[in-house]
Amino acid sequence: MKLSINGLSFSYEDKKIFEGLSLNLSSKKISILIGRNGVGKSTLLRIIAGLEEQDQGKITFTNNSSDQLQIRGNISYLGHKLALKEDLSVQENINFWVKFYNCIPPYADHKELGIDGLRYQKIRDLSQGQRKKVALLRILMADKKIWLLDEPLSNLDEQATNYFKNTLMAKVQDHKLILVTSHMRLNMKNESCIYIGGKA
Amino acid sequence: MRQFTSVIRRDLSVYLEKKSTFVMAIAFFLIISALLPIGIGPNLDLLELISPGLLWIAFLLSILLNISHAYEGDYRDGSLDLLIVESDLPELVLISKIISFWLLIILPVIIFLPVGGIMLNMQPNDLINIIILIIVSSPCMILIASIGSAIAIRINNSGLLVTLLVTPFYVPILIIGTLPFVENDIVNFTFFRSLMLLGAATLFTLAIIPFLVAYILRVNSE
Repeated sequence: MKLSINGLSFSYEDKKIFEGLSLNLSSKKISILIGRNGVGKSTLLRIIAGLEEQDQGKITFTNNSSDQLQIRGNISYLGHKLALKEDLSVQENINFWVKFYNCIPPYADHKELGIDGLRYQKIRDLSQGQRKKVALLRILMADKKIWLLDEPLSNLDEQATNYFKNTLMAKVQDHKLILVTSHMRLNMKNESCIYIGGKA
Repeated sequence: MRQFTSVIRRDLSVYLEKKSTFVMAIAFFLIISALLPIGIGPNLDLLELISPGLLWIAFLLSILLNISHAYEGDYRDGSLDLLIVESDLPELVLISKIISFWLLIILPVIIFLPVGGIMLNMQPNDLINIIILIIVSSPCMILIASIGSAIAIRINNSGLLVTLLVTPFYVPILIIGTLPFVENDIVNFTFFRSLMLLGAATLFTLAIIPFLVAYILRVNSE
């Protein structure tokens, strides 16, 4: 699968963020979008997700036979806001996603991410890292064709970081198209670094 | 449909977890209903005459107090992005949010309408009719308010702004809702006619506004 961005331009309050940006992303590699703070990494993810509208340019998603596919409905998106309900427990949030995505609860991922013991705690009582783990669990549950992850490894401990990196590598084998933003290289097999705004 | 029901269930859990929202709406409604007769004085005939209008106003104010909460929580925690990006039909999901808001904020106030009616010395027949009119028109009121809520979503403490945006659109509903209780020779507006008009307004807004709100939220989300 391929995601092609052609001639993308985007301005925010008269400030040009992108002008004529063109990228080709493939499901054969994990694409890592690297750049300084404020260079527009998150904005690019939001444009692809359809949460921001570009001024110009086209984004197309095609399968291996070059048939055009719908982007909408095929995206798992993790932004800076983690989409967790603070007043509900981890388990209640998970129960919602199980119904929302019509999927099976990923008990193995609970353990590997280290959130098995947190199931009955309210989200508001969790640390930033624990919240991030729960949010990542949602991405694993949704299991859509395109994964747009905005700094997914920030705040994670070493065990969870390694587990999630391994999961990403496995998912690329499973033909998921993965785009991750980061300030630096993630040193994964099959990663393809895309620098925007010059090397950080 | 699965996503539709899952969002309703989750929203109900969230609202029930922080009970203050709907307790506030009920308390606000009862306080207004209690203060209005005190302000008018001991003239029961006058109170009975104007009570339909007063009950409508008390109900509208208690809605306006809470309407900015419709999408605020989802916007703050990022769930709104998730619902827009990952739901199969965002417009349907927005309707589910309206339904959960109606069930947890509006319905409790409707349950307390008879208490307000008694405090305002309302005739039982008028009270029943007004409750029916409010039930029929309340989805329309929330849908209209949801436009204001979506427009002001980026603004902190947007309650007052949403109220200012929305109130003019409530005037026709208030007029149509109170006309059957007004005795005069100029306008003969029956309860049935009022019911039909408010029902039509609800169906019309239900068909149009979810699409409009989905668009506004998509444009307006950070």
